[in-house]
Amino acid sequence: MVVAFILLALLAPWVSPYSPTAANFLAVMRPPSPAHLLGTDELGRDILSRVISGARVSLSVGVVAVAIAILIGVPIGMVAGLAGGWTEELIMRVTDALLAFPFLIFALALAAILGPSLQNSMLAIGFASLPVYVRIARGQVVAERGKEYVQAAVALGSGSGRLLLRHLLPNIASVLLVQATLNVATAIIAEASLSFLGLGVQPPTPSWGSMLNTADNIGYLHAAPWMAVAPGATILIAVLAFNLLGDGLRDALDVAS
Amino acid sequence: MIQYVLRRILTTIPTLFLISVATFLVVHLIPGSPALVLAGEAATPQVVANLTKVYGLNRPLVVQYGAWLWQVLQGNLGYSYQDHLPVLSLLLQKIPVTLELSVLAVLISLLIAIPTGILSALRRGSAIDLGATLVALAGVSIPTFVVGILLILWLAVLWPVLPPSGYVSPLRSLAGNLSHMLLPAITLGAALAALNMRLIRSSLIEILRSDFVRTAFAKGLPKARVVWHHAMKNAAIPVVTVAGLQLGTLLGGAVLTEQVFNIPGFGQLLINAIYSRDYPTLQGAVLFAALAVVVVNLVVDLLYALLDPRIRLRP
Repeated sequence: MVVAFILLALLAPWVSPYSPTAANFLAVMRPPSPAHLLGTDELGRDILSRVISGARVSLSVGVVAVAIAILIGVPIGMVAGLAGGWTEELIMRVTDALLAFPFLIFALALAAILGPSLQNSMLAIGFASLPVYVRIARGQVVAERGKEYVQAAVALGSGSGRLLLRHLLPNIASVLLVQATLNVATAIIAEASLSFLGLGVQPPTPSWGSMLNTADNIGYLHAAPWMAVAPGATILIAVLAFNLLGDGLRDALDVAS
Repeated sequence: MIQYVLRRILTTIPTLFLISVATFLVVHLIPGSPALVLAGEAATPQVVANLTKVYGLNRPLVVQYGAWLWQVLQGNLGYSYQDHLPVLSLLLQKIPVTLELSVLAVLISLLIAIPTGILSALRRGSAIDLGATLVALAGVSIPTFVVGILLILWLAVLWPVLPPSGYVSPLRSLAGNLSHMLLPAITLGAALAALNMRLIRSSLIEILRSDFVRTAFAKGLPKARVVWHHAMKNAAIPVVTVAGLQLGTLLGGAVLTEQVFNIPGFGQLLINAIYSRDYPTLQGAVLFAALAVVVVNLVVDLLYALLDPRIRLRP
């Protein structure tokens, strides 16, 4: 399911039956039909094409945000775990303080300050997810640092950098992979939430959240319920796919949650 | 015990300090000065300069932070740019609404999560367990606002039994209040129910394997009694442990739920502050959310220490 979703996002321009932004005022709010499989919206745009195009936005925000969080959070957490003492104390205190901010509210505040756009959604969601990775990476390194292979590497004269990259990182990678997969799911929800609130990707670029924002109007819900159902169901399927993959990876790699 | 309480409260202070720094910096790192926002787009440079001076925005950041923190410690969160009312009184006015929504949501989530969690754990691997687990996974996979919109579509549009949106104060009409709050509470409760069901299921499975449960069964106690009196008491602990996390989920969810159902609570205050670039209100709301999480975590820890002497005796 995840593969299908990624393919859909990559091939969006080629598999969409229509242009996702082309308005057709002769076919406004048409119910699903052979010509428009998921119907059309209030400007006569093909909903299927918009959902496919939205996959691109969701997937790119999900993946880039998680990459930002990992690339910054993991090194900080690993250094904290290895260094111990004051460095660890300071880093973990800051992390604890940041973790006190509810994830969505943190992301919202960051997005509000950076201004609404695709890139800023990635940054806001990435930074809001960052403290989780600091904590996980530090916890894993603390658990590993007493083990024999680490001590052996230290005894053989490995420097800190080499120790972190060559010895510790491979051993904590499976935990991070599971977390990252589940986190893509969270990031997709966060992106949809931001664009639903008008703080994410801006029109005319279609995103699932902004499609739902338009559909969330009592008149449209009466006249064209498919406008809400199609993007809503798509978000559910995409997020479910990443959650299932994450759970599956956790079982396969035998990682304790 | 008193020593533990004091120690635990003292360790909270650095966290609170860092939260205040983060909240302050977030707003002050905004490109463009708050004075520009205050003055409006048509303001002359002179007006902007005056406002900068009046609000002390030209002072060094550390000085501004110190002044701000001193005011916050006295309960002054500043004045809303939008309503020109004290931010604290705005928060105090909106929070009860969100509190009611949250309490109802938690009740609904437990009404769903406890029976399904127990049933799943007892019938592990059965069709019921598989179905419930899948529904719970779907529950955590669907954004709050999608649940809200679909519920409106179902119960307010296609089969109109409940009002689609709006808020009625319980002081005016309790029935009106509850009928307006039911859909939002289910919306907000759904994600929490899914989370709690998974927690209860996994912790109950673990506990049903433990010695004291086996002893209880060996004594010949009825199954219902063992599960409810012996196992569930312990299985509920993880749900309480993550109360801080759940509060975060609730507050985040409330922002979206209140937007979908047009409820004038904390979430709507936050979103309106964002839309109107009302930074003091945004700052106050974000600070409140983080403080609430810290306080709940503190209370959970203290309750634990009260119940389990091993925790408070640990050095």
